[in-house]
Amino acid sequence: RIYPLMRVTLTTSDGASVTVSRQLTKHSGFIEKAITDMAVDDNAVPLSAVAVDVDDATLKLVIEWLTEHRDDALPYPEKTDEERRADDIPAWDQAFVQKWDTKEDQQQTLYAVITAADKLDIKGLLDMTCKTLANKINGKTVEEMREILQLECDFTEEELAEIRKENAWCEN
Amino acid sequence: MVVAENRVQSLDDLPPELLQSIFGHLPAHFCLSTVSRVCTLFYRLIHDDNWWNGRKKAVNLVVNEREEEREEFSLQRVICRAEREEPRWRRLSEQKMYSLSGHYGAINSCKLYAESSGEMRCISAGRDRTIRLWDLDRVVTDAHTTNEKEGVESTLASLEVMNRGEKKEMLHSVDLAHSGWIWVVTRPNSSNVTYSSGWDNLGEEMADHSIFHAGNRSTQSRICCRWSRLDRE
Repeated sequence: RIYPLMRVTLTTSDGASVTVSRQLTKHSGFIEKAITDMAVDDNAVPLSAVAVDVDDATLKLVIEWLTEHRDDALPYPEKTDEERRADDIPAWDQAFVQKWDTKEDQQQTLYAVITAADKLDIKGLLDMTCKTLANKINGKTVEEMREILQLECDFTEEELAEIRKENAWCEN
Repeated sequence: MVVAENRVQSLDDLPPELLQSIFGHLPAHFCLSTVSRVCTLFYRLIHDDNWWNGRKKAVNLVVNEREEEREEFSLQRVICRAEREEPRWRRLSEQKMYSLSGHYGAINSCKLYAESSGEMRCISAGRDRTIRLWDLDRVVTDAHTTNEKEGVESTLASLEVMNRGEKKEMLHSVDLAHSGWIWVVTRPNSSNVTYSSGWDNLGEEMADHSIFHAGNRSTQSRICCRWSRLDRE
């Protein structure tokens, strides 16, 4: 049972704390489990505290997303075949992620939110951010992907030649 | 205040299963041909059998056991192909339907293929003992122009109008290609020879739209087997 008026205090990895309503935290499998594990009596105890392994800046973004999505259906619908597509991100979410897209930051905020969504077990947010990242690299060349993701090529020449041979059937 | 040092700096700091689920949103073909070439980590994650089994479930792929035992069988290839085909069949109600008339008996076999120039073709054959070669690009463009000209809404209706005319969409026809019902027509990929076989125990080879007899074959079943093997090459 969800008591929307109940409030939960979240302590971040860098020592800050935020108090949010249970209406938001119910979307996080991790926080929900922490609350139930503490065996809080739903009727009696109005406040509980949960330590989360997420930094303050990232948690603020997560809460902003949760606030917008507080009325989303629960449990999060299982992915079916048709929902594997990545081009169905809602407009609000797209704009939300777009804000982080600065040169200095590269993808770091996005990685941080992905990791946070994973740790806090927020399926909707995790799905959306993974799709966002997938969209960033879809259709790009190998070189473009290395640049976007800032990754070094760590193959040896021999390995690259081997992969080319093995991929011969799927080259366009 | 403690500065968060465990903040993810780079993509390869993400847990591997998260990276795999990100790749799960990308087409299998793209993952193999491109993503796996970015770095050794990506290569390992994409060449993980468990990940492919997950994708297999996602496309509802059922693979024949006998097929799996074949030495050249590759689940990755099959999934790539399934993913490419799947959207074509997904929303049948949204697909346009075209009807062509040219046979007066049941059609037993048809083969869709693309010419080396990219033009889409269809060969059909059936119990009326005829073989027809269709220009599928023409079918689509003609249906559109007829629609515009006559303002006909239904594609099906407009095509019937068209068919009463010159039948430009039928490129070639062989009447009485066989003296019995035709069971199979096929055309191995990257070949310009079409094979057909029918109840008259004859296999026919048709090259460049002209037909000649390939000679008597002892049994019809053997011919059918051979055609399906050719088809796979």
